Amino acid sequence: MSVSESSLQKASKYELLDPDVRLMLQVREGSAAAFEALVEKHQKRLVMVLEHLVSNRTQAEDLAQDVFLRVYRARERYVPTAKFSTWLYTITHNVASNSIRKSSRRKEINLVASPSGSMPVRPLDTMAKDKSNLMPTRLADQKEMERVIREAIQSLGPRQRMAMLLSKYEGMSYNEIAESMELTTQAVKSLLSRARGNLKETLAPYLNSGKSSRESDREDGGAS
Amino acid sequence: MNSNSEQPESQTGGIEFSDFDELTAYLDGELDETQTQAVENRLGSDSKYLAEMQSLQKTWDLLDTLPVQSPGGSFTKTTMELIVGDAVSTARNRRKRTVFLGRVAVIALLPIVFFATAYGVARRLQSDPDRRLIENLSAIENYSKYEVVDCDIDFLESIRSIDFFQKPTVIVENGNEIEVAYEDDSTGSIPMDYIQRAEYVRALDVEKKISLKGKFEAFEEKPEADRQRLAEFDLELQARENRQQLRSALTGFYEWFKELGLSERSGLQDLSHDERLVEIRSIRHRQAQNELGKKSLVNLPSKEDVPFLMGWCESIFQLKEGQLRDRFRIVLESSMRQKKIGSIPPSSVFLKKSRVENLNLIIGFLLREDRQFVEDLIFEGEALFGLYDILSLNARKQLDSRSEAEQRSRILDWVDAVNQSQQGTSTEDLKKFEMQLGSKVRDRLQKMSSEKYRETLEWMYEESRKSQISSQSWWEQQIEKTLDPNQFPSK
Repeated sequence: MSVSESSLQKASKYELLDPDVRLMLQVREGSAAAFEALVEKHQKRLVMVLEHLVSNRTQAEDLAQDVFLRVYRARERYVPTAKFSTWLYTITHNVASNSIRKSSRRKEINLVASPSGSMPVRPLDTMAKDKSNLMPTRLADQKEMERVIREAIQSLGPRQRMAMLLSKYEGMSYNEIAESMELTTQAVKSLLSRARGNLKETLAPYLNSGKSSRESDREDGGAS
Repeated sequence: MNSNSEQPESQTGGIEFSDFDELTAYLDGELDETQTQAVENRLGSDSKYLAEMQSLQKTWDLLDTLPVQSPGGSFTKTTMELIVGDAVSTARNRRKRTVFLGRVAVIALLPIVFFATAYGVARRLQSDPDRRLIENLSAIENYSKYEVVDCDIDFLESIRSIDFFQKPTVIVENGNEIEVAYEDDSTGSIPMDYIQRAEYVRALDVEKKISLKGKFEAFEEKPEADRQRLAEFDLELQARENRQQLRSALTGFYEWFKELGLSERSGLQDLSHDERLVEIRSIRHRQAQNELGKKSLVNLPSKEDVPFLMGWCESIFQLKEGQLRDRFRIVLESSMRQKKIGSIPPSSVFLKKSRVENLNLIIGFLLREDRQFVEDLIFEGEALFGLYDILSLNARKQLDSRSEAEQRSRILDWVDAVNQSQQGTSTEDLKKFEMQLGSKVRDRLQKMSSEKYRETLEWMYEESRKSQISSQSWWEQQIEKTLDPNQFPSK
C-alpha cells in the first residue's frame, strides 16, 4: 500500500471516529460556525491545562487564544492524521513551552535544565520550603486543599506536568500523549510514573487524615 | 537526589522504580492482559506493593477535587474577533510587500473577507436562523404533534391514559420485575447540549436535513407568540419525568389522528378537551370493532384442511423450536436497540425470556418483526412437500394456481391464522359472545380502551365457558371492578 493511500485511510478513519475532526474539516472549508463550535467545546479544558502550565489565569486565557489562532492559521494545511484533541494539544504544548522559555529568559532566572528537556523546572526544595511555610495545621476548607494540589502540580517539571494533565484531564492514552508531546511512548510512561511518584510524595500528608506533615510529626513526637 | 530531576524524591522500601512504572501503567490501563494479570497477582501477595498502588491511586483521585473554571463569557467572541482581525491584517501585510503580491493578496483576501463576513455580518443575520434552528430543534421537529394536543400538557396526560396511544414496544422480565419499555420518537435522541445539538444537525443525512429545513421554514412562518408557545411546551414536556411515555403517547396519537378523515379531524378539533377525549375513545372503539371484523376474514383453507394444517404447523414449530427461540432473542434485543428504548436489559434477560416465552407468542412476534426468517424456516428442506401431502386436492389446486411468491405468502397467512388461534380466543367467538351480553354490560365494555375491552371480553368469555355464568347483573358488578384500575376482577 502506498503512503498516500495509508494517509487517506487514516484521514477517513479519524473523520469517521472524531466529530471534532469533522468540524475542523468544515473549518478548512471556511465554516466560521464550525470553528466557533470547536472553540466553545475545548476552551474550558484548554485554559485549565494552560493555567497549570503557566500558573497564571490571564496568561492561560491569552495563550489559549494563541493556540486557537494557530489552529485557525493551519486550517488550510489540515489533514486529519490523529484525533483533533491530539493535534490541539501538540500546538498547546509548543505554545506553552515557548511561553515558559521566554518568561524564564525575561526574568533571568538561572534554572537547572531538566534531564528530559530544556524547559525550566521549579526546584523541589523551593517548593518544599513554600509548602512548609504555607501549609496549615489542618486543611480547614476546600480552597486550602485546592491550593495545596495546585502547588503540588506546580512542583512537577513542565513535561511531567503536561503528560499528567493530558492523562488526567484529557483522558489521553500514552500513544496520544506521545504524539502530542512528540516523545516516545516509553518516555511518556516514565514521565507519568515520575509525575505520579512526585505527586504522591508531595501530597502524602494529605491523603488520609488531612493533617499536615508538621502536625503529624508533632503527634508522633508527643506519642514517643 | 537532585531536586530538579524528574524522579520521585524517595521510594518506599522494597518498591523499585520499575515498579512505579508498572503500577502507573496498570492504573492508566496501559498494560496488556498478561502484564495486568502479573500485577494483580503481585497485588494479592505483596502488601507493600498493594499499599503503594493504593497510595498512587488516592493521590490521582485527589486531583479530581480541583474545580474546572470556565473562561470568561466573552472568550469565544474575543477569540473569533482575534481570528478575523488576524486574517485581515495578515492579508494586508501581504499586500504591502509588492504590487504583484498585493494582487495576490487581494485574491487571498477574498476567502478571508468571505470568512470575516460569514462570521461578522452573517453571524448576526444569516447565522441567527441557524442558532434559532439549533436552539428550537426539538420544537421544530415536533411542532405538528404539539399542535394536535394544543400544546396542553394536561390534555396530553389524558391522551396518555388511553392505552391505545402508548406503544409499549416490549415487555421484559428482569429478575422478579417486569419492565415495560416505551417506543420513543426521534426527539429522544436530540441532545440537550447546544454544541452537541449543532453537531447532531450537521451529522444528519441529506434527506433529513431537507425535511428539517422544511419544518424550520414552516415554524419560522408562525407568529412569534405561537413559536414561543411551542418552545415552552417542548421545555415543559422535556422536564416531565414520564416524558418518554408522554412522547410515545403523543406520537401514537398523532399517527392515529393523521389517519382520520377530514370531517372526523375537524370535528375533534372543534370540541372542548373533555368532549374530545370522549369522542376519541368512541372513534377508537369503532375502529377496534372493525379490526376484529377484518381479522376474522383471514383466508383459511377449507374446514377439512384446517386440522391437518394445524397439525403440520405444530410439528414444524416443535421441530424448529430451538431456532425460533434463538431468533426471538436476537430480534427482540436488536429491535429494542434500534428503537432506542431507554434502558436495555442485559443479554441474560433476553436469553431467559426467549427460553420461557410461550412459543405461539414467539412465532407471532417473529411473523411481525422478521417474517422472512419464519418463511425461510418453513420452506427450508422438505417441509413444504410435507404440507402438500396433507392438504386436500382443492387446497393444492388453490396454491398451484398462484406464483411461488404468492403461494408462500398465502401459506404464511395460514400459519399466522393458525398461530393466532392457538394464542387465545378467536375474535369470531368473542364477537358472538359479546352480542349475547345485555346492553348495559355492552355499554360498559364500549367505554373501555380497546386493549382493556379485548382483555375483559376474553376474560368474560373464559369465565362463562368454565362456570356457565349467564347473570347479567353479575357481569355488571365484575365490570364495575374493571373500571377501578386497582381491582381487576378475580380470575
